Amino acid sequence: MNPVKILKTIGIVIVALAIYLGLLATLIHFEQASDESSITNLGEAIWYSIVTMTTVGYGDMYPVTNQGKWIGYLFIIASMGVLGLLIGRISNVINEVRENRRLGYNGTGFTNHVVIIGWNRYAQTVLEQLVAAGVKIAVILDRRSQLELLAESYEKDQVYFLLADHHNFELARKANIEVANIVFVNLEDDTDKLVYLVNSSKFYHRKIRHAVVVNDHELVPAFKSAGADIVLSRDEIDAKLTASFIFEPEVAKYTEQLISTAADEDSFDVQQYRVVAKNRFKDRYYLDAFFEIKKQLDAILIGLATTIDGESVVLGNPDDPELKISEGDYLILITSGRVAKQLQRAFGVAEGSL
Amino acid sequence: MAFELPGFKDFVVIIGWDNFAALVVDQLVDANRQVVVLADDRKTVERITSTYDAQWVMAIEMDFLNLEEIKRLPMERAFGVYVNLATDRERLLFIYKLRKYFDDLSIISPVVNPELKESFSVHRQIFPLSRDEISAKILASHLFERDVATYLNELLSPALSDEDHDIQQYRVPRDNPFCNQMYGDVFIALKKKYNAVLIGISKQTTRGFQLRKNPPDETLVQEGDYLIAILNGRSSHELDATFAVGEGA
Repeated sequence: MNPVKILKTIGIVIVALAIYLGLLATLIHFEQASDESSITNLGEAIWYSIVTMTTVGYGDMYPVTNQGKWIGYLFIIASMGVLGLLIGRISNVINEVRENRRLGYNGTGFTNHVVIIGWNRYAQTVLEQLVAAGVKIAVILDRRSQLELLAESYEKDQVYFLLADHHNFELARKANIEVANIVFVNLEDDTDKLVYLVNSSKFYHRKIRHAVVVNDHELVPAFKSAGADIVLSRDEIDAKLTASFIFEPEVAKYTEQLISTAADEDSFDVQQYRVVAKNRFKDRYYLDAFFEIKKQLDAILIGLATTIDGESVVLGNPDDPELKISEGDYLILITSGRVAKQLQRAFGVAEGSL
Repeated sequence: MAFELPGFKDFVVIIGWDNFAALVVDQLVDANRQVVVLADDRKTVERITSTYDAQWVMAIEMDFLNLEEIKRLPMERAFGVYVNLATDRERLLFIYKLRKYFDDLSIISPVVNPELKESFSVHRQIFPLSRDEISAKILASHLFERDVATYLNELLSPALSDEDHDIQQYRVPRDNPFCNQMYGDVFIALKKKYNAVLIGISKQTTRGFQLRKNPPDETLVQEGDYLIAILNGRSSHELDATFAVGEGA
């Protein structure tokens, strides 16, 4: 609820209370003048007014003076509206809270999450990969019909939906966009994406990481210079796997499965695990780790992400016999969904780089 | 009159031309594959001819929707066909017709609507590719496991230098030293001798090839199977010599 609305409601309650107390005081004033009166103090007056306004009407107390009866008429007339008004207001407030939650206006507490701007089938494929990997996601979409279809399809503690114009940067704050790990700008055409990037960097004071998938691969440099951190050309990626399918179909089938997040225990996936202090392969030779991980954990170590001379590098299948695994490196492995659970226990960390 | 295409062997035929087809051809040429492009207008043919080395890419002007025209090509020497028509409907109809004319040809086709994937693969040797799914999955990888994404991108690209890594498949001939050995032993031997990481095997069965990822160590490597490994260009040359076959299908 916005502050103006809250102040207005408080004002109405104060005025209503003042009128009510004024009527009670007047009622007591007139009734005290009669010896037969049953309403002579505030407690009795409140009891009488509530019993009357809620239409209970015990009849144990009632005004006897003419002036008191006139005030009694007011309570009787009020009894017809007050209850309905109260119930109506309460149900309105409940509906508003529920609607706000459904449209995402209550905000989310997600941090280090992924924000997806714009919704279509492509975004859904990305979202499903992220959900399978246990990543928290906030989706900003601009069509109510889409939100109504999607809201019940995902766990609320993992996926948050916000109905907002894609370019409404203020409202996007409800998705905790400034503390997100990365924002995937999934607008329909490349120009829209570029405009979003430019305006976003002007609006937010914090540096936000952006990822975009461009339709026209020749625009990749333009997006990079606009500050996008990850720029992928949809066609270039697809062309690589298409070519692979043409001349080495078994490899392509394998690769296609490797790029998918393992959705069940039997599917395979490439994963990365950060080497923490308690990882038993820390300070061990890469080659020793390669054979031990295969033998003991049934996963295939295929690379190491490490730092050389202050620069992050990904070493694919390194053959240096002196290469050691250090704390903070990432082990890159091929593993099944079943083995992934053992790996998380063995390495003491969850998969991924978030 | 038939097209002879002298010097073209195990080539890939691309039906239809656009920017995406150009990217696919770039990848194929990088992987040393010859390509024949069928286009239906002269200007496109001229542009392709002037862009690529004629030893690797040949463009032919043809009404490719007429299958009788395609029969003029030496399709028995073709490795596969990539159907690059505009819509799922056009592609589906074309694939059904093509399969009637050419029984065993590998057919690769993009599919825009992933729910149609099954309709495309009713015949064997047809590989439907849901394009959006591929890039969406790679992007998801970039979002939460950036090093994996970097690695996968390298694995997807053909190895251009001896240091580049690639996933490759090697057919096991009868006289191969790894033939009739246990998968676990081959895994260790390949890593120790060639720095190749064995990641799976494609077993020949009565119903075609069955892909087994990281199978149990006791799995027997037999003649005709494909070993699938990650290796760099240097290791690849050594393995080519050992397997006495080149990489690929």
